[in-house]
Amino acid sequence: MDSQKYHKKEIARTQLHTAILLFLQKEEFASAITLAGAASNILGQFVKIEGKKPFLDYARDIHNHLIGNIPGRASYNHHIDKKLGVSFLKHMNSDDAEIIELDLKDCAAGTIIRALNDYTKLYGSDEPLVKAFYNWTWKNMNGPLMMEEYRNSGFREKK
Amino acid sequence: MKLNIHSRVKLACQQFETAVKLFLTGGDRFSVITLAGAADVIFCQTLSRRGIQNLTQYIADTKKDSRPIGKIGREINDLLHINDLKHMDDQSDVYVDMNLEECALGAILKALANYHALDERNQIFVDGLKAWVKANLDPSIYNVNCDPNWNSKQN
Repeated sequence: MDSQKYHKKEIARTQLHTAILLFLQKEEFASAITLAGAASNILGQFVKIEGKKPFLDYARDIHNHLIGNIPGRASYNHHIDKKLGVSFLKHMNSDDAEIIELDLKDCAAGTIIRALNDYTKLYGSDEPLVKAFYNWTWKNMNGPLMMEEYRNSGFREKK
Repeated sequence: MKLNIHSRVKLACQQFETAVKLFLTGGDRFSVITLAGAADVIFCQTLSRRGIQNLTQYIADTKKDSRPIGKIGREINDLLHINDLKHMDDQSDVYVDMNLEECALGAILKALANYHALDERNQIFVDGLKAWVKANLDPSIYNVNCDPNWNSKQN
């Protein structure tokens, strides 16, 4: 087989689909985290190219609303990657711990939610796999309560 | 939230085993490369901590390459497009020109060499991949029988 050109948007889309499948089939959460994390890095960039607000900037706005300052893009991205376990699964320096404490399922759900936030700005949310994942979150992450908390927070996204 | 303690090398093994399953079942090749690449970073660091030579160090020794190991490792990763599939910045090209099947195989075989050297490995995955290699690769180009005295006809 010869070399072929692949668009990065499609590469990210394929990896995110695989991550959602691994998650919904409860097959393997560590891989779901790594794949959704990889997809996120690429999708966020395309959202920016299309003149829309990527998840990272949305998260920085929430930080500003809750804490009162806007963190730097690179440092906040790194912070989120660490919180979601992404960094622990693909990097290891000579002085890093060999043992980590994580809720793998929770982190996998979080990384997919982050990636889907950018994905739906590019592709919409009508695909069956996307709907299946959102249905899962509504049922398993207490969607009604989350929406109530959002309404009460007073935060509204600036477009 | 249910926090649990995890060994990073065991999580890396899980990622590699998922990559192997995707590869052997004709699954998504981009994910094969990303997962094998991520797992291999942790395999290399773990082997180094245990005083065991990893594949990149072996290649550097065999080829008498005195450049820093990190540089050689990055060169191999770039050849397999591992970083292209997980990063994008303002300067990045939106297209990746690659032989997807060969890169997926390369990423798997590179990580396999390191996975094989770990106590945590699951021999079923090693045997499964060896059987696939024997059945599918050209023995004049690939060392399908793992013979230490074998020479490629491509050289």
